Amino acid sequence: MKLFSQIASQESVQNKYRISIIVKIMLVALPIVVFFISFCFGRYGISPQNVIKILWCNAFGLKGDYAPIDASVVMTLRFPRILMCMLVGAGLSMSGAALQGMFGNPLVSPQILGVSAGAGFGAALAILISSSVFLIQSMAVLFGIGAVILTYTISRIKGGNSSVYMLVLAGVITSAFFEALISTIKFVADPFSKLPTITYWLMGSMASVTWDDLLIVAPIIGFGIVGLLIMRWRLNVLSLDDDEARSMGININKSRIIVITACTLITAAAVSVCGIVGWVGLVIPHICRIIVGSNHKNLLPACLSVGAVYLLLIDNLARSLVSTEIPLSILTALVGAPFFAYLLKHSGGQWS
Amino acid sequence: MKLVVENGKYGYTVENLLYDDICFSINEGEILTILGPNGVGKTTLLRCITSLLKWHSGQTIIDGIPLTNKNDNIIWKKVGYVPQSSGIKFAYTVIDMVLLGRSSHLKVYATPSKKDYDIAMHALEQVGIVHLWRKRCNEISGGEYQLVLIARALAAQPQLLILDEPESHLDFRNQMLVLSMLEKVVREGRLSCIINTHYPEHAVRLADTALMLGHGRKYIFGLAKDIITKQNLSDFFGVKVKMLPVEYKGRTLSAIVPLELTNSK
Repeated sequence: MKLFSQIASQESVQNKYRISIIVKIMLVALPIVVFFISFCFGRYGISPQNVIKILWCNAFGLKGDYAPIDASVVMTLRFPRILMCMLVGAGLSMSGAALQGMFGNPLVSPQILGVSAGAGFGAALAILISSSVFLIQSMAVLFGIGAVILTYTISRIKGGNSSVYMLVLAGVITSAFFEALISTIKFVADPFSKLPTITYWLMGSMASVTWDDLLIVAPIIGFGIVGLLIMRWRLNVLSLDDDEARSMGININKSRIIVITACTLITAAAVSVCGIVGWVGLVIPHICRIIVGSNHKNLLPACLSVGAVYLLLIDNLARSLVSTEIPLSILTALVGAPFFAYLLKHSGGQWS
Repeated sequence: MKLVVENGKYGYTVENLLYDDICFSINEGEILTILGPNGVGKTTLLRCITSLLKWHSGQTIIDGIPLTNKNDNIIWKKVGYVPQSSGIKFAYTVIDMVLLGRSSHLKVYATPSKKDYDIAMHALEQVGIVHLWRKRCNEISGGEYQLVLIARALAAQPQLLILDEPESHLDFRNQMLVLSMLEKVVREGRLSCIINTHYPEHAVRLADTALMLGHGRKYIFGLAKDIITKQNLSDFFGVKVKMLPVEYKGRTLSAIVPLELTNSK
């Protein structure tokens, strides 16, 4: 142990190894800054001073000299929407990172287990038969969870433990099945009323988010996020081959089920309020690997921060670029794809 | 520790058994090498020993305790396993990779503590690559990566190391590097060790005992010098060889020169 004590005294192993303090501060500060800035964006302009005044007065129950309509826009429209964006962005990014790790494959996104397709089908079906928001949301969550259970069952169809390959293939099967069902619903839906609603909804939007939505969805996504944070170091072990991971003396099936459950809750809840938001869960983990490295212990907290900021910025664009709301999936890919290509040019994919 | 395999029987199909009633054992501080041609189930045997696969019948006994379905996790408190390297999926740093070896000592939700870092660094020191600790695993050589995997197994503080062809895919120098480091670690730590290898010379160099597997479920087990003979190599591998003893620094190594295929194969 002599050599180690020398090294330890020279560069304090654990500290030096940690990510730099500047990166850490950025990861904490950026979401806070973007959070406040976001209140100013939108077709209805509100000055930063007014935003601060309104938030301050509402937080402490004071009376301020601002227009009531400004207060209403900030407090009932933008506040829940901003929080929801951050929650969904953080959740989807972390799910993406966790599943990429668990499958040992950087091409995986939260959609891989069929949850998005299942939840999308549940929502589309609900829109077809009713217009109750509550029904749409609960059907989305139920079918999302159901789809993953189906995936897991198929992956064990041959008996014994489900390998990672079987899970991926089963996810492909489930997704294809539910996507076909979504197409079927679109095909039979009334092309003048229901079809546009379904199509627009599936492309993802935060436009209609209310405090009530947040109240239902936040605990579910929050639960998933906490679950993933708890498992963040264990994900390193899960990213190894089956035999390797088992030889580390851990129960990989139990650990996998925890991760899958957390990711499923997050994704299903996200789809239930804002439709299918693509790309966030695929790209943000890659960006975060460049910033903090591959170790999931650092990667997941980084995804929490960067994912929240990314989706919030995208949503700011979505509600202020043109006079109508642009669906989120269009922007996440339209902005995300070139940015990702730019990153690939500079990193050559070396970080993963 | 002492590991005994009693009447082990396994095959991927019932008609086509790989082993039938195989018996061998390894005592504390011993090195056992497993030799045999491709396809006789060397890797499978390691997986059976460690209960990654379940014996059809027979059992593995560790320090007098038979492994069963219920207790098969106890083995990972005592055994460090180094599988054939399967490529690097994520570019973890060397220290992060070695820390994974601490998993069996950590709770599901735990992250490594200062003590775990100490143990991981010590493992790196044991295999002589402590200077690489901050490098990423895709920035180091294949030989160094193999040493990282060995350090990861050592970080679990095992009493028995099991290695699956640790020197395959390595060049001449890196093979020596890995083997000599392995020998040093095992002898210094009074560890037991099971190694699969394709190189009879390496077995002669390292091993106390040897297990040779052949096609048709035949096997022989005994002292390395009794097992690794030109007659057995010819019988099990179908290659006629000449073995030349080489004296170096007080130990007897062996040069094994393949001459020609025998007609039996």
